Amino acid sequence: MRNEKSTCATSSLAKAGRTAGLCRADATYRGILSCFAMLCSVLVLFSGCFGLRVSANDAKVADEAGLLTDEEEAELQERLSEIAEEYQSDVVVATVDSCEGMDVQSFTDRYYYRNGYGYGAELDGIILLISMQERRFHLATRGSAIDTFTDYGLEVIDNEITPYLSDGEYAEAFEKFADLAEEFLEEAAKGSPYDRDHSYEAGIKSLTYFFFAMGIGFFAAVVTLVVLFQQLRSVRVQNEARNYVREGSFHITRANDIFLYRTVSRTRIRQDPPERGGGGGGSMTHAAPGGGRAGGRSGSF
Amino acid sequence: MAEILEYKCPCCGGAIRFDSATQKMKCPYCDTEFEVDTLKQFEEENIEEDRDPSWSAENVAQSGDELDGEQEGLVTYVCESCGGQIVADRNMAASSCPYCGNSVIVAKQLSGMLRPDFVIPFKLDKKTAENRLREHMKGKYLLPKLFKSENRIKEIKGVYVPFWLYDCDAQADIRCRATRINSWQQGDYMYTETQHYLVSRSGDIGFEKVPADGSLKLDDALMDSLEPYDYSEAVDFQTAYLAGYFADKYDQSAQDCAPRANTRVRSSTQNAFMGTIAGYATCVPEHMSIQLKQGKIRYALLPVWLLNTLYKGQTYTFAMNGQTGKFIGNLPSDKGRAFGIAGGVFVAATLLSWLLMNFLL
Repeated sequence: MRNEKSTCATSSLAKAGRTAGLCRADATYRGILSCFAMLCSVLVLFSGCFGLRVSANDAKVADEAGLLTDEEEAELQERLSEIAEEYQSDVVVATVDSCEGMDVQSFTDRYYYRNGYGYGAELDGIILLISMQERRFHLATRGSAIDTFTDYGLEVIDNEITPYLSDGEYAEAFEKFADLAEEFLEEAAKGSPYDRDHSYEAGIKSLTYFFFAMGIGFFAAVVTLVVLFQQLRSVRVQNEARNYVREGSFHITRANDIFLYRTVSRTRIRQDPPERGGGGGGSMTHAAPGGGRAGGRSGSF
Repeated sequence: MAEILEYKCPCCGGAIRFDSATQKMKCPYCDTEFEVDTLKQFEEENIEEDRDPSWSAENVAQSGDELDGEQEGLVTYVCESCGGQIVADRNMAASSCPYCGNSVIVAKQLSGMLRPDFVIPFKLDKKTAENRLREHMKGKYLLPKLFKSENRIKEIKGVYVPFWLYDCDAQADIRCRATRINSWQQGDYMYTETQHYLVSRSGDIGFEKVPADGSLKLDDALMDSLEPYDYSEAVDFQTAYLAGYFADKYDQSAQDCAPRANTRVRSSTQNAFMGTIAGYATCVPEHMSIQLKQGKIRYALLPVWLLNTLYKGQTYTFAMNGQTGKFIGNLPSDKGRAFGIAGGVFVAATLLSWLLMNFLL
């Protein structure tokens, strides 16, 4: 519906221009045309203002590779629809058997466009597509989602979901993706999307700190109580007799320390991946099918 | 057959008592002081001269077997000073007459097999015990405020508690599995080397005078908590030390109490030997054999001040070591106050650590 309207608006505007150039005399025809064009643009604007924008495709989960059970799919579908509706930005999960020989980025960009996903003229939305044959996944963003999910944000999502994907826990991975998408959209709606200088982890970190602080508080309270209650108790059964050892009666007649064998084990030291690309935030974009730009990040699992 | 002893002042004839401050016998009426030995000699001479046959056996009625159920275990004595009937527990060895207040000692309970090997005389008096109770309640944040002011001393008495003192030799044979752990970093890997050892220790250790109270009436934990006593101040037993105090003969035999002493000896033996194993990261006992060789068992009377206090209809028992002054006794707690303090500490510590974390990290 949105597509039709915008096409209608552009073509009529073009027509208006052309007719204006060709038949300058025909003022009436020109006037009707321009009125129509204006009406159309107003309609487009209005539909935008009153939240009438919808995605052309309601199937937010396209499980072509059959990784999810029906219940999981239904649940995820409902969740993603809710998020998409609320933030007016598509959130899509797709699984395919293969990328048909294309690289996963182009395939995903095309998949998104071909299936008519995206809100508004800029096709706002994010898609997580995983391809089983290549064991690769791609996160593609378009429109406003490019700013909502910056390169930094996509990295966060990548780090969170890759372990699940690698373990074959697809439902958990997609659930995590939905959670993160919602959090990122919510933060962007507040006016400042998560980015390098406004990091998602910082929020998590301060929450972790708080729980940690509560743990310390709890520990301190318990220690205080133990100490104070202990003050009141002075009656204890004695289990020791060390005060009564006869002086000089302790003799060790035999002491052996025999070395038996040794075992050596090794563990790999986990090294943190180096911080990528110094300061700048934002998103790198590339040209996307159907005009416009797309952001994205690919990974293997 | 019981016989009641009462020590009379050779000077004025008043009932004489042991005075803990001077460690002598002191007459409360004429203030004359005597060495315990002197008095003992005096009594021996005296008794031989003036012994009145009508005095001992006939004056005492023992009711243990003759009376029925509810009075079983009670014995009646006749006070030497006032002639009043003293009904007492079968184990009573020293007490005071409820009518005239004179101290009464039942010689039968302390002679022959029942004669203690030694006694540690009281060094601290009733006043000290009362003061120590006040000190005991100081600085306890969770003690209900009213307990200090409303708590009333119901009974305070100096008691010679019967104790069994065990000498014991232990032979130990211990075998443990122990490990030493080294770790180092090489390339991308952390290496951990664990060296396994078999550690064994054998030897012996001796214990002397491990105490266990031989009184059923007194809580074992309460008596345990009063330790330690300084045995170097112990003296040979003489009944005169009991004048003015309470005493019971033991009602738990040396065999009954031995397991308590043995448990203590065992755990201390184990600790002593395990303590010689050092330099290992872990040490798990695999085999442990501790043989005890029971030595001499001695019977002693040790001094304890017992205080019973009443608070809101409930009795609280405190005890003080009559020699060292160590004061013990559990106190009640104010739960509401505890909750408040815990809540306050929780909130304060949480906020403080949270702020610190945010500033420093």
